[in-house]
Amino acid sequence: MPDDAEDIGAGGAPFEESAEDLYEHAPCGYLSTTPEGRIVKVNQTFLTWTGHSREALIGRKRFSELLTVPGRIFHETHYAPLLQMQGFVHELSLELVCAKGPPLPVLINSVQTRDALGAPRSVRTTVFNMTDRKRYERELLQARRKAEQLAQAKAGLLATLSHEIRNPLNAITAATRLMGMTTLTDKQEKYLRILGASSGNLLAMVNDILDWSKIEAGKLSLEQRQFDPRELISGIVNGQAARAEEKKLRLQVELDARLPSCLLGDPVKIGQILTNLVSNALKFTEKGGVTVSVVVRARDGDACDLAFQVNDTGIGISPDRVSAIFEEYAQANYDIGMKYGGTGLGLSISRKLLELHGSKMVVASELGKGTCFSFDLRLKACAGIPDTAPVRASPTQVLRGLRVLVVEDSEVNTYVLARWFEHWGVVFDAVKNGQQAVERLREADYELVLMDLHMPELGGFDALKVLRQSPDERLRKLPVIAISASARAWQESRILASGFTDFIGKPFDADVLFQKMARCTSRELPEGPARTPASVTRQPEPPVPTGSADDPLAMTPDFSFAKLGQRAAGDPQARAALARLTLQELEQARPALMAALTVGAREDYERLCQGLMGTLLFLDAKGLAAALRRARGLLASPSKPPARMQAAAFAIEWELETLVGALTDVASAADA
Amino acid sequence: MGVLARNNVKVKGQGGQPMVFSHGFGCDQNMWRFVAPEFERDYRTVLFDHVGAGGSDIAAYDRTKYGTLAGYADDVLELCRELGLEKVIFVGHSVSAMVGVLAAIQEPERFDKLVLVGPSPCYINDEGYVGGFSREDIEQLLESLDDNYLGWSSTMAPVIMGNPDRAELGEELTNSFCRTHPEIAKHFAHVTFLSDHRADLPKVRTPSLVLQCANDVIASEVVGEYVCRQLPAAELVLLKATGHCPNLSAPGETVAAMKAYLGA
Repeated sequence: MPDDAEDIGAGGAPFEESAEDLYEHAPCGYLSTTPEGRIVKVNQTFLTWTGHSREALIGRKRFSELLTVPGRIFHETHYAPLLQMQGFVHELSLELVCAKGPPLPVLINSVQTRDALGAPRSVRTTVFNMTDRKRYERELLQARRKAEQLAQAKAGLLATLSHEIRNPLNAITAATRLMGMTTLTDKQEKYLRILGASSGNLLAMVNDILDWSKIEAGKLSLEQRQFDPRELISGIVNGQAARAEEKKLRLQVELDARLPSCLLGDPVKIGQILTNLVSNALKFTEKGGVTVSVVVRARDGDACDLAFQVNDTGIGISPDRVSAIFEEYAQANYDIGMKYGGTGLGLSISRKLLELHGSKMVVASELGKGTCFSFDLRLKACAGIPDTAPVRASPTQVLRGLRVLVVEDSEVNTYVLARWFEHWGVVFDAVKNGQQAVERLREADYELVLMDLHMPELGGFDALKVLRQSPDERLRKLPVIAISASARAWQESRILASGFTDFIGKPFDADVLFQKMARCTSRELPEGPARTPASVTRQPEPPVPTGSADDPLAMTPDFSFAKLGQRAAGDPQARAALARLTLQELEQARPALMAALTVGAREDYERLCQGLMGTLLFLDAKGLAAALRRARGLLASPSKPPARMQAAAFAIEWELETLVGALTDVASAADA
Repeated sequence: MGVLARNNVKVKGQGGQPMVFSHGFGCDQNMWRFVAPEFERDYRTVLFDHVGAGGSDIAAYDRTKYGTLAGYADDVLELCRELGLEKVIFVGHSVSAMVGVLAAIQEPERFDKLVLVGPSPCYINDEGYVGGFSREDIEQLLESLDDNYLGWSSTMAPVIMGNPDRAELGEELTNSFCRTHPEIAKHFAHVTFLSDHRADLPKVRTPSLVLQCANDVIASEVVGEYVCRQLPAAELVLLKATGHCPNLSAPGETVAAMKAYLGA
């Protein structure tokens, strides 16, 4: 019986496999060199693959000489040092020059052998043919590149789409606001509120998508400009205050006293991050409240290390979902998406905006208890106060010297009010609750009170009750303006009945605040640009036009009646007559102009514009001129994008409407 | 982050005079592991990694700053200033030889001697100049780097799998000595092989030693001779060692040549 352990050859003799034969015909190339790289031994497989003859290589060539030029450089700068340092190299990807045909892609492993004394004796190299693998790699790389290009193209498309959607949406929200200034029935007002809220939500969502796709396409960069962090945060908190009030949530701000009043950075993007966090926090909180805080961690010369935090007492996030919430389109779970809505892009955008700042978002959360989002920013402090705030409000003497008491528990709000008041020359004191307000009002003589409705201790309603029931007639008749984020609260009958003189919503519109303060204290207003014709009793000076010509939806029209006044030379009859003439011209051109725009009749449009030129100059109507120019540009473009055309048409309508309104006032002023 | 952490600076040695070792393209300060210890007795040895290599701070990599060798030279001067080094002996390998040249031109008073191992002011052949490579050669090299067809195959995996954040994991497996960030290595190759500092050589006032190997494909003997001719005060020593890295393949011979020069 033959021995089981030994293989039997065909002839019955023990089978012997020659080691030399195995070496020569192994499925990989073998190569041995001296420590300096001179080839001393090579197997047949290597020769077959490369087409070189044994004689041409042994003793004649160095291994590096068989490599393509890039490979040779790589060999000298990477392979050789590595081999000498660690005694081996693994899986280096190189290309061998063949006797005929294209270079052969190979993977090589090399081991250094040493003699008894430890000196390098030789280098053994194993060569794997990588032609197929290389092809797969190339295909994979190509596929990846293609996929990336496609993703970028999609992001681009999304950006364009969002942009096109945003324009008419802007027009819808602006038109809604304008409509809100007209007389409406209760039902209409209700519908208008729904229209306003829905279009606002939709606009926010479209803005999210646009931002996200801009970031994806790598088109977003940071700006550097001066801003006041208190004002920024106040704007954000006030913008969200209505929602907080409607859900009966506390919305608090805690700011480090050391926070500089002027920082250098990108307020828009920082504001976007905070707005997103606050609005999320409000969305996911049913009870308790939301706190925004900023702590100055350290100050090193100009550099300020700031820690931002948004804390809520909401539903929280379970630990296994925490990392997922930063992913695009992700919300903590599907039900959340169904229940709370939104694009799910907000946090992903915030994270990316922070990445631009070299910072990142940190989340601490406990299910059912609440969530804390925080991030650090290093910003430069700058000297002084950024000159950004009081640009819109009427720069007149009307309110100068007015003595006002501000009753407001939010320091940030008080701060912002203070900025306006300083600008208007208003003298004021601030207290934090109704109790203090009542005490202060008994002691000192104020002409007006601004009172927040939601305060600790004594709230706005109760404080007012105390005042109105006071034996002191001065207190009973004192004008008190309520401040609240919730316009709905104002419409509730109990507030109307409660004796407040007027109401102002948060966020404050400085112009509106100014006018209401003036009206409540019977101070005279200058001629306002068509907004409050009823309150105009005298026309001392032509209005100073404000507002930017670049923003088609800016709510302050851009024109001046200075030339009109000059031409009239102080004669009110002449002034009214001139206004009437100008009015006629505008009214005549208006339908033809709009028709030309609607049907895209470029030549007609341009002719009409040309005809209006003199009038525009006469009225200094920069806003209308800009709107007309924009529309002309769009008409000239081959595509005439309908959404943008519509927005441009809206802008022209709005500018014309305000001009006509203001001119009508002037024209009728002399009649009266 | 300070200069010392940024460049992973390691200071050793008992001597007074500082000797700064600067590694070239493709490796990190480990390049000097057989050479630098030989000088610790008589000098204060300073080793560091260029930003992007070894234990340097990758986050400090700025494509504009390191878009020319001058950016690297600035780092050398910065760390000299930080450590308060005077009368510096600068030892630069490969592309770092030119980094040293630029640093010595900028602050000549700071440098005592330059030791240039395998220097080349320009890798591409030009009229009347043999750099060793044609423009096509170098373009081919850069192209292959761009396509990632060259280099550790293990760093290719992350490129394909789309996980470049963890590229260093792949590398760690293949080697623990010459860690370089693949993207930075690619850019460094562009900067190195397209650089031309021939015009700078005559501006060097510092006495220099040029160590030239036999059969060096990267910087051939003619290039070494050219460098020596253009430098106002240079000495050329031809080593028996072959290849581009005598500091690794023949550390004994390298150290001896340096000591002979510095002792003189």
